[in-house]
Amino acid sequence: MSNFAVNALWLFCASLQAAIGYRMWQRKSYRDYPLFFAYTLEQLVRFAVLFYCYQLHLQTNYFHAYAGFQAIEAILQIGVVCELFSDVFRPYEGIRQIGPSILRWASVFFLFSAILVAAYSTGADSYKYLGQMFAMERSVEIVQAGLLLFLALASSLLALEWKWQTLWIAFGFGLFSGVNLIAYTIRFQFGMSSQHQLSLLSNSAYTVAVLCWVRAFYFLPEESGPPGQPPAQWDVHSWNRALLQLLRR
Amino acid sequence: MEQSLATTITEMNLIIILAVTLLAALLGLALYRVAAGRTSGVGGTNPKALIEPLDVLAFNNLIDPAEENFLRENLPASIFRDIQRLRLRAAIEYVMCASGNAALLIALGKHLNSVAGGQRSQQARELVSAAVQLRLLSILVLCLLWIKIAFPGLRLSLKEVSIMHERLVREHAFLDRLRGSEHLLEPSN
Repeated sequence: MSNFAVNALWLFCASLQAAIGYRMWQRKSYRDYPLFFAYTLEQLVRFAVLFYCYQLHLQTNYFHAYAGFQAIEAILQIGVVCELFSDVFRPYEGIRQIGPSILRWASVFFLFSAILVAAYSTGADSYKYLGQMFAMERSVEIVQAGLLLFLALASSLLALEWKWQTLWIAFGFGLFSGVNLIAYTIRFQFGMSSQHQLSLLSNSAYTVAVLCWVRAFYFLPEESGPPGQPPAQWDVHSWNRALLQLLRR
Repeated sequence: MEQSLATTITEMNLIIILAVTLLAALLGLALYRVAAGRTSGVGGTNPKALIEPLDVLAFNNLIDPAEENFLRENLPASIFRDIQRLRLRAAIEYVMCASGNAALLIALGKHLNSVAGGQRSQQARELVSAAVQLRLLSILVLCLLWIKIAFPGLRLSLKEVSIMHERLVREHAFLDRLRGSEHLLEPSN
């Protein structure tokens, strides 16, 4: 792909993210999705810094900035998945408390899986630091994709309904994270030989993910929340008691 | 020695690539399923027509520990195990039916909550809570029933499920009786 096309794709994504950030600010959606808003802003700052370094051929600076932003992004991405978890469980008073504990145990499980994968795989990168970075990114993607999968499965089993916005945000992250998971794994195993194709694949997936987020904030009707939220009195406690009774048998 | 180590490493890498590809594919499928569930809401259909009637007495009989003990004491062990498995399979059908009803009631409750106000909104929220609990409980009970099918001699009491289902149905009937709610339950043209 020519340099012009790379720059165009980069700028296209950044302008779409700026539009998402603006829309979130305008509609005060940052109250509902504060971490996703922070992630969007981080992507804009990341674009500005990396684009500057790339254009001026500041290779070392680019590399350090890239590594730093990847670390911040990893934290924010996991945070966004946690935010989606709480958003899906929030409307259901009876099981709202279960959400965080499910998330905690699922995180431990996928973190353990990521550690196992890291321990049992060997990289092909001659530059050790680069190999380690791809291994770390793959671990983050395993945790993120695993948590999203777990959330989707749990909500399907419990017949929980997602808000459209949440669903499209999750779609974007799911697509991006699934493709990146495969790309980082192949990149880590086969080294530089697969760099260009995988980079293109990853960038394309990211662009589609950004388009999903644009859809979430521009092309969906705003869903109004339930009128008033007085706590349910009669049923929840007895149901929870019954659940516990059943589990204790 | 070195060659066999290299082969093991390559195999391990291949397994890892396949595992992450499977994880990514499962993620795509699961999200698609969530979206499919979101689009097939209660908007265009009559949920009352979709709710399957559940014979609570028959279900109570199937899961009654006294009935189970009676059969255990009066039948040869092998015949008891066979009959118990059949009874448990029937109980699984009931629980799956209750679970399906719960899913419909969740959608119905959310729909009512979004369009109604005041007392009806409160009732709708309670219905959603109760239905979600039933759904959760159904999953647990299904797991327990499958364990019982594998080990028919195991003593597990599951009567709570039917009590909860009765309660949920009563709640649904109450919600239905509320003046003005009928038009919300009819299919939209």
